[in-house]
Amino acid sequence: MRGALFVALLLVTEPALAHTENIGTGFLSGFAHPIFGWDHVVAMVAVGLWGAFLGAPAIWLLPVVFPLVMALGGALGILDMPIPAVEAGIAASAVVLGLLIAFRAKPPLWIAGSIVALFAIFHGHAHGTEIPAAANPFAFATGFVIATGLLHLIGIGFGTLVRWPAGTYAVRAGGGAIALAGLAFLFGIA
Amino acid sequence: MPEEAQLRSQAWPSFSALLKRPAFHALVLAGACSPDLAFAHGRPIPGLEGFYTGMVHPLSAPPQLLALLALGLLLGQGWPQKFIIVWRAFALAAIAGLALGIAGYGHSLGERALLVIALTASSLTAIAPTWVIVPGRLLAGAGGLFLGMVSTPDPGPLGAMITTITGSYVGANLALFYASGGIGWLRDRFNKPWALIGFRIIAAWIAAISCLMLALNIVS
Repeated sequence: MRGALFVALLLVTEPALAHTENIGTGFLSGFAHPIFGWDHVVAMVAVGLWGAFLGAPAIWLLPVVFPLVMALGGALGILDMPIPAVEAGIAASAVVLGLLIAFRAKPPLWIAGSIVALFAIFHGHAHGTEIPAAANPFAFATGFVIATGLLHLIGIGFGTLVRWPAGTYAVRAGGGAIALAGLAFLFGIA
Repeated sequence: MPEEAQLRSQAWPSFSALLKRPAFHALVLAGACSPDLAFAHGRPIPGLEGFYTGMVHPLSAPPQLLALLALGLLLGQGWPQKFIIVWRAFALAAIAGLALGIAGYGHSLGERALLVIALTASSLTAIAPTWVIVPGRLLAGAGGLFLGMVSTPDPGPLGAMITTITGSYVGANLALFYASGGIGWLRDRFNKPWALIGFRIIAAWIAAISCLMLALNIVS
C-alpha cells in the first residue's frame, strides 16, 4: 500500500489547483478569526466543556449544532441582515455557559442544544460581518470552521477531566472563570 | 484444473479482486487527481489532455467539490446497497445536466445550486444520517444535474468537446464513487460510535462552509 502510494505520488507532477489566489492567506485569515477574539474563544471552549460535562450524546451533539447554526448567523451577517445586541449576546454566551458549567447544570438535551444554537447565531453574525472582502471565500470559510471546531475540541479535552472528582472541581472552576470573563466583556472591562 | 485456475487468478486478479485492493484504489485516485501526468514522449493518445481536463473539472471549483463531498458523506452512510440505488439518479441526471449545459442553460445558477445541495446533503448527514434513500435520490439527482451543467467546456471543435465532456462525466461519477466508498469503508472499518459521530461533525463543518460560501456567492 505504501509502495503504491509512493509510486502514485511520483507520477503526480502537478496538483489540480483551480483557484490558487489567496488560498493560504484566506485560510490563515479565517483560521485566526475566531482565535484572536477572546470573547469568541471562551464561548467556544465553553461549548465543548459543557458538552463534556453533560456527557454523551451532548458531548458530540453540541459541536455539531454550533457550527451549523453559527454558519447561519454568519450568512445573515454577510447578507447584512441585522441582529440586535450582537456583542452583548456574545458576552452573555460566555456568562451563561460559564455559569451552567460552574453550577453543574444538566438540562434536557433539546434545551442544551437550543441554548447553544441561540448563542451560535450571535457569534456567527459577528464573524459574518467582519469577513474581509479580499479573502478567498472557500479558504476563509474552511479555516474559520476548522478553528471553531478545534476550540470545541480543546473544551472537550479539558472537560474529560470530569472523570475524576478533582477534575470535576477544575472544570467547574473553569466554568466560573469563563463566566467572569464574560462579565468583563459585557461591561467593557476586557 | 482448480490449481491452474488458482495460478491464473494469482497472475491476473479479477476486477472484483482488484476492487478489494487498497493499492488499486490509491493508484486510480492519484491518476484522477493529477491533471498533468509525466509522459516522456508527448501525449500518447490524441485528446487525452482534454479528457483529463474534463475529468478533474468536477474537483476544480469549491462549490462542485463541496457538493461531491457532501453527497459522498450522505450516500456513504448507505454504502453499498443504498448507494447503488441512489447513484443511478446521479448518473442519469449528470447526462441531462451536461446536455443542458451544452445548450447554454443553468451556468449562472449552477454554482449557487450546488452550494444549496452541499448545504442540504451535509446538514442531513449531520442531523439524520440514516435518511439516505429518498432525500439521497433527490439530492443526488439535483447534484448530477447541476454538476453536469457547470462542467461543460467552452464551445470548440465537436470532437474535443465530446472528449472533455466524457472526461467530466467519468470524473464526476468516479469522485462520487470514491467519496461514498471511502466513507462506507471507514464506517465498516471503524464501526464505533466515535467514528459515526466523527462523520456527523465533518458533515456539520461542510454544511457550515457551504452556508458561508452560499451567502458570499449571493452577495458577490
